[in-house]
Parts: sequence; structure tokens; C-alpha cells
Amino acid sequence: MTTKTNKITNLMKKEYSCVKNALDFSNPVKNKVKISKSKIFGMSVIRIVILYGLSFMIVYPLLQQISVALRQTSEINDPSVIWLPKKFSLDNIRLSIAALDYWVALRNTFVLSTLSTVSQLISCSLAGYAFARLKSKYTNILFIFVILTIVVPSSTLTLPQFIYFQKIGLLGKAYSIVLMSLFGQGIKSGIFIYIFRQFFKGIPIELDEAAQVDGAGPFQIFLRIMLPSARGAIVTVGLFAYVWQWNDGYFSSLFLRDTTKVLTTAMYSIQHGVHGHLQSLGLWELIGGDVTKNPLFLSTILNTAAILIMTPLLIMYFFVQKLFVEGVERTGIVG
Amino acid sequence: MKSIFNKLKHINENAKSSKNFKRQVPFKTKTKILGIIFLLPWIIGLVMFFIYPFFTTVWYSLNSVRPLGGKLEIQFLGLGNYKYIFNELVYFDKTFIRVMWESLQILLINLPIILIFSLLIATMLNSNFRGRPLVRMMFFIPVILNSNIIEIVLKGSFSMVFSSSSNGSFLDNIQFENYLIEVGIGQSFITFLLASIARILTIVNLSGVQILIFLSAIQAIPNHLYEAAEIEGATKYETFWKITFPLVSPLFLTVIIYTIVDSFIDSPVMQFIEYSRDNLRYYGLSSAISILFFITNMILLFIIFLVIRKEVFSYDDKN
Repeated sequence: MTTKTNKITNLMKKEYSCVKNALDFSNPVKNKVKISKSKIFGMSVIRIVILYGLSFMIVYPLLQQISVALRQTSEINDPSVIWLPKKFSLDNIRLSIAALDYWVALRNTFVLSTLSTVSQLISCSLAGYAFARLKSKYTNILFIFVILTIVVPSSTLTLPQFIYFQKIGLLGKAYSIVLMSLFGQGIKSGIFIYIFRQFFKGIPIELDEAAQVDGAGPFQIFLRIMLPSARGAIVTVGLFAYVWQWNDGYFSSLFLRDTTKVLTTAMYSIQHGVHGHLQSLGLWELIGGDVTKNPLFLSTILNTAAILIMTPLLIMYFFVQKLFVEGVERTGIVG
Repeated sequence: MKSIFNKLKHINENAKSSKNFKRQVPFKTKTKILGIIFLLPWIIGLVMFFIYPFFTTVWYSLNSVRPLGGKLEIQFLGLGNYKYIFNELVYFDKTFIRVMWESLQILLINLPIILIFSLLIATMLNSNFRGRPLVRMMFFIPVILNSNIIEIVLKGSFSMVFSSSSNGSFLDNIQFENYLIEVGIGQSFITFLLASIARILTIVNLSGVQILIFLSAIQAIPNHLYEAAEIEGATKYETFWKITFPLVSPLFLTVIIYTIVDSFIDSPVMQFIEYSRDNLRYYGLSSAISILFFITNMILLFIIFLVIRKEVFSYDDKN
């Protein structure tokens, strides 16, 4: 019994001292601790406000676009509709799918992005590894050219490339872009080579030496040791190559023209001609005069088309998002 | 029969010796050969898609090049194209020099803002707080959705009315402005404030990859440095300036180069190049503009390189 009361009194004493300490402003050390604690708290509040605010700013336009896309065409400039449409309708989406020739363009984009990503991965990993580990007298000189391919604007090169593809008859075919990626000159290949080089440089050289002692040749070292441990770099480069190819409008509008439709070029071509497109498809008359006279109608269609282009990427991003962030953070760009 | 057997033996020996030969090749030569094999596709691509087009562009820029029925009509002009660009070329009431100067100005204003902003955000994203995975996921959305075509299309038509483009200035509305006027803030300050708010989104959209670069750089910093600093009693502010900043600073050049390279496609100079190529069909003129564009950017990069090189702390020269 006595021990229990002792314990309780001890506890009370402790609590009392805690309260006393908390109210004690005379102790300078504790004051400092308190100030620094409150500073840390304040900083974290500021941080959260900034970060959440900015991510709100990033997501807000997206949500608004989606909300506009789901509206009925007659509700386009109804000021009472802010977020949720009064009547959900897929009309906008249907119309823009028709205008974009969406499924064909989506398939083409998908095939083109996949092919060019794979070929970028092959050529850039080989070159990056050669620059990092298989050094000779010339690799350092050649690496200057890698930097040059990054720095020179692609607009200085596209015209002769265009004429060249015209000569060999690859203009308008997806092979032109795939060929360039296969030879390490695709979209931003220089950056990918740089990433691979930095990454392979970061792998300890003792690994190579151990493998060499065990009798592996340089190619075996690359295949069995380097590639499996380069997962982070492969994921980073692969995702960037895929996304950049998907979003690219410059090269595809130049080299693919209208013969191979991808999403971005389809977007280009309907930019000025939604009206004509829908008319030629015979949809214009079906919509009704009230709607088509509305100047915002065409903009809504364009907006919906933009969402349709972005959606597959966004869906894929949500699936690989963890892989992406981790891959980039662990190794990716800095190595 | 015997001779055949002998022959077989001979072949067998040959095979053995060739096997031996394979083994006798020193590791270094093998490495060199493999290096050549690995670099071969890239070198072919470099010659085919980089060096050849580059010099062709330089050659075109000195000529009058016009497409005529599938063939090119080439006539030597000397520096005529360049003279034309500086003296006469006007597109949308703007001379070339003015457009170039404006795009450089935009770039030079954006560059430090992007640099500071992305470093700040990367530092924040690196620290622990609630909901970090979610916020990170959102911050990388601009990296995924950076299609400039969508931006161009939406900027032209939609954002004026609905302000819902990815570049839109949704805070740029009249109610907010009226509120600020009622509060009693000066008009000039309000315009500045609204402009900067509108800019934030542009900057966020432009600095996705840069945030990634800085984030991975910060995560590569060994943790024991921070622990030592904490034991020594350094504040967060001090550790940022004494540890994070110097160790991240080698990447400033990378980020700057990336930002400049990224601005190429959006640059208004591109409109000149495309206009003279697709509308006027003066290929020589278009080449000359792109060469000028290239030279200006190289000069800019070179100046930045000279300035940065002295300031940057170099941690390890080997890398």
C-alpha cells in the first residue's frame, strides 16, 4: 500500500516539475530549446502550406478541365455550373474522339512510344556504359559530342534530317523516329546517355574486378552485373523517354506528317479545323444549331481532346508512380 | 581413312588453339573492342543525324535553298541570308533581333527563379511531413504532362474565357482584385501581385525535372554529415547553407543547361524558323535563323559556364 502511494506521489512530483519547467522562463537553455521547437513547428506549418498550396495549383486546372469535359454542350457557359455539371454527358468526349480519330491515333502513339523507348534504352545504355567503363583514348573526345547533342537546338538539325528522310522514303513513317532513337539520336538521347554514364560510374569498380577474377569477359560483366544493378537508371530513362515521346509534337509533326497519325499531330490538325473535321464526319448537323453557334463549343471540344490525350499517360503514371519517384530518387539523374 | 582422321585431328587442334587464343586476348583489348562495338550505333547515328545535318544546315544558311518539285535549288549567296535577317525580316510586326532579345530576357528572368524555386521545393520535399507521397506524386504531374502542343492549343482558345488551361491564371479574377483594392493595397502592387501569382504556375510547370534533379542530389548527400552538424548544434538554416547548398551546387550547371535546352521548343524564335521553312519555303533563310539561334544560346551557355565555374564547390573531381 505504501509503495503505491509513494509511486503516486512520485508521479505527481514529476508532473508538477514538468509544469513548473514549462512555465519557467528564467532558464535560458530551456528557453532556447522552446524557441527552437516553436521555430521548427512554424517552419513545418509554412512548408505544408506551400507544398499543399502548390500541389493544389497543379491539380486545380486538371480537375476543372475534366469538369468542363463532362458538361453537356448546352451548359458550356452556364454561370451557375461551377464544378459538377447539372447533367452529365459524354457528348463532348464522343465528339472529340471522332474529331481526333482517337483510337487509331492512340494505337499509333502507343506503338511509336514503346518502340522508340525500347530502342533509346538499348542504344543509350550501351553508349553510356562505354563512356563510363570501356574507356580508351577517344571516349573523352567523343563525350564532348554527347554534350553537343544535348546543347544544340534540334531546330538546327531538323531540316536536313527532314530532307534526308524524304530522300530515303521514310518520311511519314514511324520508322524515321525509331531509327533515330535506335542510333542514339532520338528525343533528348544525349541526356539519357549522360544519366546512364553517371549511373555506371557510381557502381563500385571492385564489382568488375571480382567478376574479372572469376573469369568473366567485359561483355559478361555488362550483361550479368551492370544491367541488373542499373534498374533505377533503366526505369528513369525508360519513363522519361516514353513520356517525352508521347508528348512530342515537334518531331512527329515534322517527320510523320499526316500519314501516320499520332495524338499530338491529330491535336495540331484539329486546332484550326474542328468545324471542318466534324462537318466532314457528318456530325455537325447532328449537334444542332444552338450549340454549334456558340463560340465556346469549339474550345470545349479542343479542351476535351487535350484531356483525352493526357488521360492514358495519367493512368499509366498512377500505376508506375512509385517506381518512378523511387527510381529517380535513388539513382536516376545524379548517379 | 587415315588422312581423314588426321584432318579431323588437325581441325580439332585448330579449334583448341583458337579457344586458347580467345583466352589469351588480354582483358584490356577485349574491353577496347567491346567499347567500340557499344559505341558503334551511337557513332553512326552521330554522323548520320548530327554531324551531317549540322554542316548541311551551315551550308544551307550560306545559300538560297528552295524546294522545286521534289528537288532543291541551291544558289550561293554568301552572307546574304544573315543580312536579310538583320535588316528586313519581319514576322507579326516584329524584327528578328527584337524577338531574340525578348526571348533571351524571358529566359534570363526565368532561370534564377527556376533555380531557386526548384532547390527550395526539393529541400522541402526531402523532409518528412504528413502526406509526403501524395504531394510528391502531384509535383511530378507537370513532368508527365508537359506537352507544349496542348499548351499552345489551349492558350489560344480556351484560357481567355474559362481560364482552365494548364497555364491558366485562375487566380487572376476580378473578385480577387476588387478585394485587394477594398483592403487598400496600391494598384501597382496589385498588378505585380497578380502577375507573380500567374507566374507561379508557369514556374511550377517549367521546373518539374529540375526539382527531380535537385531531389536526387540531396538524397545522395551522406547522412552522417547532417548528424555531425546536428551534434555540433547547427540549425536547419545553417545546415542548408553549409552542407546542402555546397554539395548540390555542382548540379547548378546541369539544371541551367537543362532549363535552357528545355526552352528551345517554346522559344518565339522557333516561330520564325517554322514560318520561313513552311510558309515562305526559304530553306536557306530558315537554316540561317537556326544557326543564329544556336550561336546565341552557345554564347549564353558559355558566359554562364564561366560565371558558375568559379562559384561552384567541387566535391569530387573524378565525377
